[in-house]
Amino acid sequence: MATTYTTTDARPPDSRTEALRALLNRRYRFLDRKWDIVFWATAVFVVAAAADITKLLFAGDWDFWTDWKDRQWWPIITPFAVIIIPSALQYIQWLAWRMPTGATYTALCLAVASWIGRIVQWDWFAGFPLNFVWPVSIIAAAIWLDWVLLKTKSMVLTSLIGGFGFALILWFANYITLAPFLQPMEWMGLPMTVADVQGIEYVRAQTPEYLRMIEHGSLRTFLGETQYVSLAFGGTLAVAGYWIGQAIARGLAIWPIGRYIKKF
Amino acid sequence: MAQTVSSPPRLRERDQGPAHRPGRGPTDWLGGWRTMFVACGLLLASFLALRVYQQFYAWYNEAGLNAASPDFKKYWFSLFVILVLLAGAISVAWWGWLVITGRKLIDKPVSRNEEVRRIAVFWGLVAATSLTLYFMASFFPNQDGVWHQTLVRDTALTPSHIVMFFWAFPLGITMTVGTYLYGRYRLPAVYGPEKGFPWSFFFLIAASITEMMQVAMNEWGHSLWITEEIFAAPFHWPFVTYGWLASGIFALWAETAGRLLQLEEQEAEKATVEASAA
Amino acid sequence: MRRILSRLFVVPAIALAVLLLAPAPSANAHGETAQEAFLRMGTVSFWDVKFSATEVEQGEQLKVTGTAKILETWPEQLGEPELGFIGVVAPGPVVIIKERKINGAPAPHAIEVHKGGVYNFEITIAGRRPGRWHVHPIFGIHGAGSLLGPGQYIEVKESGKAFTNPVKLASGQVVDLEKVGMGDVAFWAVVWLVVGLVWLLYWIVPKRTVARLPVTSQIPLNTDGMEYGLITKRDHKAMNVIMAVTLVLLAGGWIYQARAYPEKMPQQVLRFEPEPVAMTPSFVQAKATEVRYDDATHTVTMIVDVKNTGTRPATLQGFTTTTLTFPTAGVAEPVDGRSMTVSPSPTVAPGQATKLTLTISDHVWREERLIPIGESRMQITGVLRFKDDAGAENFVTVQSFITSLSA
Repeated sequence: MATTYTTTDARPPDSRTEALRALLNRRYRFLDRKWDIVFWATAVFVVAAAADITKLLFAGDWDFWTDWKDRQWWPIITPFAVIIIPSALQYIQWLAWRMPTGATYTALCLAVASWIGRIVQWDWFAGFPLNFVWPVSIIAAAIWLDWVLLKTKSMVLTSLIGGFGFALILWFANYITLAPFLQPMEWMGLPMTVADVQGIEYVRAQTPEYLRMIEHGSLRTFLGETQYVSLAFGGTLAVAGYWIGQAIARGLAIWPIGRYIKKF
Repeated sequence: MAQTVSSPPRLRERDQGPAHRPGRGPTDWLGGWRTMFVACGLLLASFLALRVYQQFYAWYNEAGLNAASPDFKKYWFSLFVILVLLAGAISVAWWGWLVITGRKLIDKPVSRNEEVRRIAVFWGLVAATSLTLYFMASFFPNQDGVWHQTLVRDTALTPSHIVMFFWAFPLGITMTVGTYLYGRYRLPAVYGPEKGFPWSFFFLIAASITEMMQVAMNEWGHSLWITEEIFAAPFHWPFVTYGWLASGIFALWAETAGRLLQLEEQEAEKATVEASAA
Repeated sequence: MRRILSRLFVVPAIALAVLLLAPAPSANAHGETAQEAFLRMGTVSFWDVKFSATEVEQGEQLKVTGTAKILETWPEQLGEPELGFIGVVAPGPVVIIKERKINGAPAPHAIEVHKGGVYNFEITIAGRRPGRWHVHPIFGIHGAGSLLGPGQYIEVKESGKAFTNPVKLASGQVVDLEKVGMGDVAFWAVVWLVVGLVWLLYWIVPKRTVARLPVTSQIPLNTDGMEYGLITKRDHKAMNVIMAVTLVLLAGGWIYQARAYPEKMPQQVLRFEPEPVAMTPSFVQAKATEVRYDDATHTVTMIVDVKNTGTRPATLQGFTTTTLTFPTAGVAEPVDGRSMTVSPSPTVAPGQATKLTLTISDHVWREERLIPIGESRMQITGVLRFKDDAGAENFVTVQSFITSLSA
């Protein structure tokens, strides 16, 4: 670890560079690895909290049930909701530690929190089968976001390239697990998907079917292209969501550092 | 920083911290970090115990299904009263203790060891706040979601609300305000009164307080206006703001890490002086 | 201080322990009694609700049948009823719905409804989770929420074998609806967790974190700090590998799903307006003119102007409101021990116009919070059931403000 700063630049480093290199490897008396462990381990909770509440309250219904994971609304609402906190953490961790980890870290926290929620509350408490209430995984999309930041070193480029790709990868990764639920079957002689039948059979009295915001068809659904226009729009919304995350990180996490309200 | 001196002759043992005991130093797990384990352990135990209680008495034995029933009063309304009073009592007791003892400590010189220990305790309290935020914003909201999407809405005092709104949410205020009071009196170099009120804590405390206010709006809306349960309804969106305001917690880590680095500088200067003297 | 704190925890802990040791309670409501009485009474009425069994094994089926009517008195503040959904409410999916017919037609999803609409429902449910569960039919109306019909305890007995819910796919394959697709979901959840953890641990285990702050705080945002050793070429290479693995996994997963599940279609929306129910021509008119409530005797007294416009004698069979039915004493058997008295006589001759006094003394008015005392509209609504001597039935909605209250 101590010698990983070597660079191919043949020019001799100036004194400031030398000083910063030395500073990176400086040994401290109090600042041991325990501070790192505590930071990474205890930030899990607040990051999971922020990411999950943002997902639950912006896109919760689409995340709760397979019969809501449709091709019109799910691909636009979910990426917008789930990119906000990864974007914020990406800024914080890149700025503070220069690590391209914020999005992946958030995605892991969210995955654990979501699964605890679904297992402990939706399954153990309410008795819904997990294959009806599984949450989306945003980890693959988050890795993409972190990788784009590492390569571009730019929040603007990451928002544009990373944000758009985030929405696409999110859908690709989760469509793989949604596929078995889109298989056709019959229910009382009517064709529908396995997901629809789950929605009918597993009693959820206060979420009547008419609340389900999914594709109903429209006179302007041209050439059956619902999926593609939704993905494209989802990508652009993710870019917008990315900047909400940036505003949170810059305005609420970083800006307040060392600032005080002098009179209150 | 005026309070910090490198070799204060008049420091009492308690101000020096327990650094002299092996394994109880400022950055030892059983030293400075002990508060983190104790605080997180107590909070976790309370949340999990209440979750177990919900499993038995909320749904499957039906005691929590009807707020107009005598069983509800026995199993849930009583718990609601206990939790609200307990949260209030814990807050007053802890905040009071922090202020009363803090006033005696704030002007006393403090060793670097002790200040580092206090920063570790502070990070422990931040950890406990973070844990509370998780139960407020993810663990119990998941239950509230499945409760409302499955059962007919029934007053503001459903079993899922009682635990979330009236235990986890108030504890959010207890923890954020308490952590500030700890910083104000015990880490004056960072949060001392002469600096003003830190924006970081303003956002973090605002997070937990707006959450409580949003409870009131939520119940008004569901009682008199919104009848159905779409979790992603715009009406619920204000709850998100507190997840965002909680970002202020990162500023706390940064501010105290900055102070830690200052102390390291002082430590290094002292070592240089000692080396040149030798 | 510690002593105070320990007391703070011990007292509630003891209180909780006492509560936990108390015998298990029972209840048969799902929160509907907390709703305002005049709304519950004035929105939807249920009658002839029957459960074909009260005890089933896991997987065994029973039928819930009955009639629900969106009353003409539907309150204006709830908006016009347009979409509805008839189902059941229970403490979660302890039962599953296997079939649903409304007015004889399969109705998997929501239906288009209107004020005054009458809906005969037939819901086949099957036991899923062992236990004794209170199950109600429920009518959700978009914008208003869910309204409950009369409930019944259903005992679901353990079948002795693990519960499965086999369904047949269009491909002919039979799958268990409880588990289908879960293997894929769990597999990919673990795969992504592992890949994500590898990415994260690569950074946070070998490298220090907080100690980087003195350096990062001195350099611009748009640099990876390679010259200071913050991010190295090796880091870049390692991340390229993980990114490539992620893309390969995505491609592999995509190919897998396309081959494993070649037939797919979007979720379906199957809504329709049920055919109207054939109703008996009207042979009786009724209008409530006065309702009094006496709290001391828990008695509701309703004066109703009745006119028999038919050619046969018509008899008032009973009064139905919310989840309750009060059959006329001497005419029909009491339901759950409930009945009402009608004077001077429940039978009205053809062509006769008369004033009937309906008297219902029952604690249930208070227990179910059905007397709208303290509400913004003190109104009683319900449905009168008349039958002529040939067996034809009329259901007439009556509504009146409470005209006298001795509470």
